Amino acid sequence: MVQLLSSDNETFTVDKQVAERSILIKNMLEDVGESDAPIPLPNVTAKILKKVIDWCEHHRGDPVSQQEEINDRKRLTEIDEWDQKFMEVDQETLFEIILAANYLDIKPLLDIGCKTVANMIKGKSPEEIRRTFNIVNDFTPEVRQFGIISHCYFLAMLST
Amino acid sequence: MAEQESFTDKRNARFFAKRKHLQQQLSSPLPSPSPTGNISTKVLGAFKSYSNIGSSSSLNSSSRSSSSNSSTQDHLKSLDVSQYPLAETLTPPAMKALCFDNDIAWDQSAMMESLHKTSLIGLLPAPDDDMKDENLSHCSRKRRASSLSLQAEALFPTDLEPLDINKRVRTKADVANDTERSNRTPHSLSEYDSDEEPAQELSIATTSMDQDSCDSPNSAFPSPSPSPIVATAEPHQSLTSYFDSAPLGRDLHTQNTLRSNRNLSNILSTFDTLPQTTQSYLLFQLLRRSSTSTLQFVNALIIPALKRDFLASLPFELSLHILRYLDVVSLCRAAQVSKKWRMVVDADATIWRRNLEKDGFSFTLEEVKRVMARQAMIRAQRKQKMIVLGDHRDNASIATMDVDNPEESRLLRKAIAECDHICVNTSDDAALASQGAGPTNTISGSSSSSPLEPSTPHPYKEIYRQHYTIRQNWKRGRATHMSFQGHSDNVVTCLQYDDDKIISGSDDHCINVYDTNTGKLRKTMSDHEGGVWALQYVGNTLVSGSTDRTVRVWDIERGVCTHVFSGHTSTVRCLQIVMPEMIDGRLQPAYPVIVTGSRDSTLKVWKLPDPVRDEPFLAHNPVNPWFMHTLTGHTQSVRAIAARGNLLVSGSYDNTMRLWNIETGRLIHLMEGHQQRVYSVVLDIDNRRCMSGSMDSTVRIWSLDDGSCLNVLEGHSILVGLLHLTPKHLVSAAADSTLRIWSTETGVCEHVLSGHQGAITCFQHDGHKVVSGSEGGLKLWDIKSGMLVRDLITNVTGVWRVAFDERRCVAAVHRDRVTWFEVLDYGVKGFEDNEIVAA
Amino acid sequence: MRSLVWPVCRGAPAAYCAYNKQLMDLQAKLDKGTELKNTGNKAFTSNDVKGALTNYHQAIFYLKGTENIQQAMGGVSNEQEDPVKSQMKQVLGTCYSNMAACLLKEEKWPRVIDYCKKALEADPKNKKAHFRIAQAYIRTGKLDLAREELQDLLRSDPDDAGVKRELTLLKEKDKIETSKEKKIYKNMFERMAKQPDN
Repeated sequence: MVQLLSSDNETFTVDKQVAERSILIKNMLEDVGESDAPIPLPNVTAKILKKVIDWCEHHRGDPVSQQEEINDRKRLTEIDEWDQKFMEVDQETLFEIILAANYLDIKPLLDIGCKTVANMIKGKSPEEIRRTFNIVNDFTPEVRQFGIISHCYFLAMLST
Repeated sequence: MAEQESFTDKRNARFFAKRKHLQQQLSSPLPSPSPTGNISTKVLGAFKSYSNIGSSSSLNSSSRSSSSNSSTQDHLKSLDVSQYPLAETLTPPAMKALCFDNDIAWDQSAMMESLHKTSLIGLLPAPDDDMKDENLSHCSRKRRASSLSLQAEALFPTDLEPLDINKRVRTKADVANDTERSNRTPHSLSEYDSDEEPAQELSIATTSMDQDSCDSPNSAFPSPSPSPIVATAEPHQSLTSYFDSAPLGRDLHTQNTLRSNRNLSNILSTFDTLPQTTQSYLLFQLLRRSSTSTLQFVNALIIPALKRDFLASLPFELSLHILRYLDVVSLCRAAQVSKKWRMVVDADATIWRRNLEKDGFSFTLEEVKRVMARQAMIRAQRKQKMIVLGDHRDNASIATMDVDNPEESRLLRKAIAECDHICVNTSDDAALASQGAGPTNTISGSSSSSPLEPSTPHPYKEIYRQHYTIRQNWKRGRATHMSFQGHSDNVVTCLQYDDDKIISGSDDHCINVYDTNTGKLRKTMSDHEGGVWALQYVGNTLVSGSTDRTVRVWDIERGVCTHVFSGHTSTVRCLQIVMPEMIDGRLQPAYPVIVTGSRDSTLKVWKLPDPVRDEPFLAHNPVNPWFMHTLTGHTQSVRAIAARGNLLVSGSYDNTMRLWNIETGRLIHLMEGHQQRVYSVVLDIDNRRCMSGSMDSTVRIWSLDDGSCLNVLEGHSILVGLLHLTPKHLVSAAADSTLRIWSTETGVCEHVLSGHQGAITCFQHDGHKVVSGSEGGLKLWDIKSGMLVRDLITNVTGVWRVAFDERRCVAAVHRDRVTWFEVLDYGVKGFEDNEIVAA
Repeated sequence: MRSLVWPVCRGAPAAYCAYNKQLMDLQAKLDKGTELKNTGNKAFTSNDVKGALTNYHQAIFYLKGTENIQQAMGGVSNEQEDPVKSQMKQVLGTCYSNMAACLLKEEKWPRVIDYCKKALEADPKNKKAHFRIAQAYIRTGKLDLAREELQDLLRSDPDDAGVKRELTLLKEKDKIETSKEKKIYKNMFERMAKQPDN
């Protein structure tokens, strides 16, 4: 059993196998061996750490992922159902999960987070994307106009 | 010890009683309590866990509260669910241990507040000089407000109607809570403040709220980047309308309101000192008591606050990680979203390279260099132009430039197009020009938008765009069409071309070289004494075979025949130049060879001479240094050959196919099986297979390893004259005027392309499209769907030969008893863009 | 409340408030990270590999994953502008490089390669990291990559004894590899020659 200490001083006790889904922690345990002291994770808050641990628990048995087939179009957009539900959170949390997965070096979780965001972008017009993420259109009006013309043309070209 | 125990017991008993009361009041299905002993340990455990997480003191205080919440719970029960949707919501399990009485908790919290205030004051950093002026005034205003909290309270009644006190409290509390979580609301609220006069009190009220929000222990969320919200406009409306509608007079000021107001300000200031869990619980209780419209208001506040601009906020590598999962259409749309997004989308080369591969575009290193050079040139040009134009924000000067010098404006527009990675077709140029004010706007727009340029320029997006444009041009039929005559009215028997020249051989004994871009005839080579039936060229070396039984090698540049090989005793019907390839660690064949097949039923292998460097061989010398060997075995005319590496496969009218080793000249396999003449062969070295099409209307697939027939593809009704192979598809064309697309993996016929009026005389395909010609004209088909895309050429009596590459399609047709060459160029106008470079 | 003390800034817009808070956190993390790195260095020099590794790992926990904070302010800002961030990167690079040294002693070659790569990301000019990665490449059979690294190093330091040593080792390994290859091809040709031509 391994103890993880979040940035706001909350301790989580997890199985070694679960903790080792994070390569960062795995490397440390490998090099240093187990100890009773909790592992301090000063860049992850308790709320997010809990989420990440939940995910790791659910996926504890997964084989350590190989290089994902980038060319496989299907796998690019597919997210497993449980993971989909897991990622149904507000954007703020999703953002933090992605950062935490990057920090802890949990590649599958990072991939799923990024896929989720990509799916939020896919198939939307720029205005819709802006609305989804609450982004301001900071192009100058002229460029915007030109952008619309060119955008339409380019899109017309791209759409088959 | 004993005291403590009894105390604990009393506490537990009280809690248990309260819980039971709650149950009764809410009549909500709380889990039924197990025997007392367990409850106490459970409760203790819950308390313990909470003392770890939150403030132990406030919790203990809350647990110590003896008076029941019956009053509040009654009120809750009386709420109608349709108007107060959360009234009957269960307390979330994590919060079940908490339930405190309003007054006592607040008293305790007031104590906490004073404690906190003293501790917090010591931590205040000095105001930073970098803060904006508005904030400074805000700051001072707030400091004043904090020290004069009573004064602030006194102002509250002006905004509140005593009757609606609960509602207002909730609103403010909610908003206060939201302001601490969303840093935009105070911003926008204060923006609102500066505009409106009647909201003077509002401004102070809000500043006191801001003060609270600043005081509050900010949770561990990293703050979202500040940016003005459009979405919160509505809630602001409701807020100000709330306050506007309130009577400003102080006549409504009563003792009750004073006391409740004090409570109110206490609520707000002490709310912030509560630990997060208690805050959440308080809010939960408040929300339960809120009507739908309030909930909507809150929702509208919270949702935008929790949104995140991912691509802008994440580290660069992670943003790229997200973009990896997007297809090109989504990428282009994403680039339109905001400047940051465009920068991220454009900046990474690997995304575009990957997309290039994924969508099946191939590009050469040369192309990459060319595009990079051009981009650098454009940038330099634009910089120069900007210096010339002076202040590029001066639209007037640009406008005059534009009007006076259309050439320059055209160049500038082209520069803009490059800058924005947009394809400006000739038609688009016209469209922009016709817009009148359009060009001016666009020029000024782009010159002030150099942030549109990617910081680390890479050519791959541009390359992708060019390739994609060409593909789309094919689909839409946007091409320049050039026609020129040649070979009078004779059959064009063979055709090969590249970006520079078109070489055709004809029955009129001539080989013509035309310029691809202009159609001008450069050379005619008429040394043959019979019709030319086969030709191929590599670089500057052209090899041709004729009915005069000779094989000739030509220097294309000079238009001179340098070598004549005799040996065949009949028409040289087919030939191929085989260049050495590295297979299995050595070059196969060791040097370039020519393989010829003839109607005399033999094949001959010759070394390929270099017409420039090698000695000419024109004399009919029986000893030919270039000759290697003759491959005998067929009993009838050799109709078609295909060769790669050291392997050569030949199909003959004797119904058989033979596999030969080019270097040794020995037969490897004899493949029998066709019932009639073999008309066409293709070689698939990677899969160790070859295919043949025959007059018996079948296509057979043979194994190269043992010469056995792997598959017989049936479907055509007569002679299968032509075959063409790409890695995934085999396309066969037959005299029954149909083409069939077969999958190379499964051997299943995927599509039948019918529509031609006569036998297919020529065709080619590249895995995406099929171009086929027959007596009606030239047609373009899509491989994936098997549908006809369009007729490329019509009104002809025959199509002799067709060839296409990514950009062009060249066909030799017969029209009005004259042979014409049709060149369709789908390249983007300005694709090579020599004009810009020259300028 | 056994919680961290949150620094508070009055009056500034909350975003700036958060930034300030996080900036302080950043500085605190940098300090803690540097402290741990120094402890690790001491442990390494006194040959306490385990102790060194522990400290380095902990330092990485503090220093890693802080890129987001800056970007949260809305701008892919230049790293040179933020001294704290660039310092963190430096310290991180040193930690990785030293960890590679530790693991070199323990002969965990694949990990050495990983850590050296990370160290080189932070500081592409780190010669020690180049050297260590070359050593690891040799011992994991990636001879071409090793050769590249060593040749680069030789160009900048022609007299370095360590580099020369590794190059000799590389040559030896090379010979073994090529003789292996020859054997394989020899067999192949023999087999091919045995097959009949027809």
